[in-house]
Amino acid sequence: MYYLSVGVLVPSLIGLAFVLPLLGMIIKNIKFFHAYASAASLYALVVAAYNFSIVVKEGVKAYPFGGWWPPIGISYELDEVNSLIALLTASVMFLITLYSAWYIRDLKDAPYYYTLLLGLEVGMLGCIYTGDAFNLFVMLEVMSISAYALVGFYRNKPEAVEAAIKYGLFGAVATTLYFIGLVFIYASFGTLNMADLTNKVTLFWGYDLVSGYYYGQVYAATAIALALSLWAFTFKSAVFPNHFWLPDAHPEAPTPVSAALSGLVVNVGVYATFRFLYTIFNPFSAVSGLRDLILLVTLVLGLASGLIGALMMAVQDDIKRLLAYSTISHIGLVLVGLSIGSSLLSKPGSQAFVDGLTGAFYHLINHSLGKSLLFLTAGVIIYAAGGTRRLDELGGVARRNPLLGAALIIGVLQLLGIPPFGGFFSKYLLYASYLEAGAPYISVIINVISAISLLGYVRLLYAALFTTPKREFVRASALPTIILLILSVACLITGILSPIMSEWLRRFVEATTSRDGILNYWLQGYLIFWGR
Amino acid sequence: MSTLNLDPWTATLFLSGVLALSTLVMYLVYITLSRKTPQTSSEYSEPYIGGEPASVIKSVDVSVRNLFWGVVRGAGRRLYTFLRDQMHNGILNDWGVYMLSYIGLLTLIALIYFMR
Repeated sequence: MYYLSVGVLVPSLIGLAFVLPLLGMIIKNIKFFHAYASAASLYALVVAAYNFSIVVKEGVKAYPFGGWWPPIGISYELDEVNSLIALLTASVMFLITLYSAWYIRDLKDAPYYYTLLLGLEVGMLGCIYTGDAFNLFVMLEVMSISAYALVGFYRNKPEAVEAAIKYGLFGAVATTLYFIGLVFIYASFGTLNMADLTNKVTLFWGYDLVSGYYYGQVYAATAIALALSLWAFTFKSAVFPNHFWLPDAHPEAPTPVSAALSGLVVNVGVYATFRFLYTIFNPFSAVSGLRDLILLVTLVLGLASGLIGALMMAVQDDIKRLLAYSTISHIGLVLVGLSIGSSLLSKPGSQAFVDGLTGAFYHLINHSLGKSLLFLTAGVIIYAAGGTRRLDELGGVARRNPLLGAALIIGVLQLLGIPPFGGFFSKYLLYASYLEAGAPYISVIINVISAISLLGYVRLLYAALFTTPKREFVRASALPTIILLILSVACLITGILSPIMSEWLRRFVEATTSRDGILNYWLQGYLIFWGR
Repeated sequence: MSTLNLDPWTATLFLSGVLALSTLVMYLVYITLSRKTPQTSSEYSEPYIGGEPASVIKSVDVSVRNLFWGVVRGAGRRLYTFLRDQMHNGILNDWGVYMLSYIGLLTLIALIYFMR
């Protein structure tokens, strides 16, 4: 039996998104669209939670679209790691959609805004769920086009239009390069199905029942395809030197969108890198030597990203731009964790290997929650301060509202890595993994990155909390405050439950990256056909 | 004397809990013992420091913001000139140089691996 819920979510959600502009021509009550988008987002959360539960209970699950045998047709495939990231995405997107109901309460373009926001969610979930490398390209485009349009949503603002054009131009180059990489893969392997590719690259049997033998120079094609794909993925996750677009694009978008872009969209690039370097071109594959070299490059880029993001945070005047640079820094740290898989640093299944990957995914979760919380808090702060984003003009706005101040402090502590918040434990795992791998200088750099980022976070806290309020501020309604409260509690829970969470993540990482896990991913890609 | 051995996770959570509890206790002691009405005297509005009224001292005070910028500009002027004015200057052509260098590096690694 295959699971309809794995396949049904993305197509049905895109249907719900595209109906919105049509409904906008008939229905003029904006409250309807707030309710509609929130319900659609809740539906995505329920299905993602169900999918996660079946994967935890029963292992890898797949769904073949149209009933086609997987190497020919598109299939979605869920394992422990991607079902967890999908659940995180759907959860945070649900809160962001609810928050949007307050943020765009009077906006006449609400149907278009929600179409794009749901489109963004569909693109992210599609990228995460897919078991097909070409479908990943399609879903990257769905996600990116929604993101470009949302960045330029305030089309009367020249800065927003400029940021959207820059993001769009380089984004199109990135997805095109990934497409060219796919051409190389298809031309040599004769397949784009991830399970089928895993089989061919790992076992090098050279054939299977449907997609045939190899064609051309497989090693050269794999090397070039990996180089092109990695460039595209590091662009989507804004890793140095592919990060330039992010500090322009994220602040110009409406604040809930900034939270989604900074907290979730960047995760897609990280996930795709993981899927390519740990499942398809895995440590046991015939191209493990190339993979080792590429992981060393990602390690250097991750460290550079962490340092540059932290340094640039300290000199920002714009609250949203400061948070955007913080994203670059944290995604750099996540990439450092992912890079532990190079055989020059650790062996598959070793303590350092598992700790590094566990730390990477743990930090991904902590960053998503903390960054969404900080961006959404920034939205309320900007509103309360009369629309200014300049730190110097915030004038202690968060002091007037203790809950707002508490949310800001919790978000900062989470990202800074102060116990008992989750950020501390994930950074500790990253730190410990490189100590275990015999590379203490990398552990030291991880600490240095955290220390430098303190400058930026202190400026944010000082501007919003510790300066004396000079005038009366506008008070926000209860809805955003409740959402900030939920996210704050989530940040605290990721810390207090860290022994349980890290153990879960460790189990997920072991199940996904072990030889058996990779074999299982490949087998499930085929078994869905026989199980019908 | 018995020794308590805790793993880093439990130890961190335990210490955080102790710190939170101590802070709460100190706060409760503070609000219990603090005066409900402010203490006033005839000299309250005219404090003198080193023989000068407070207004004179205040006029030469360095604000936290200026102190921050003084340190950042003093310690990292050259670094930030490069990072902000040459790297993050918002000009697409300049970004392209860094981004294309990266794809060049990746392609080079791929070719070296293939030709070895």
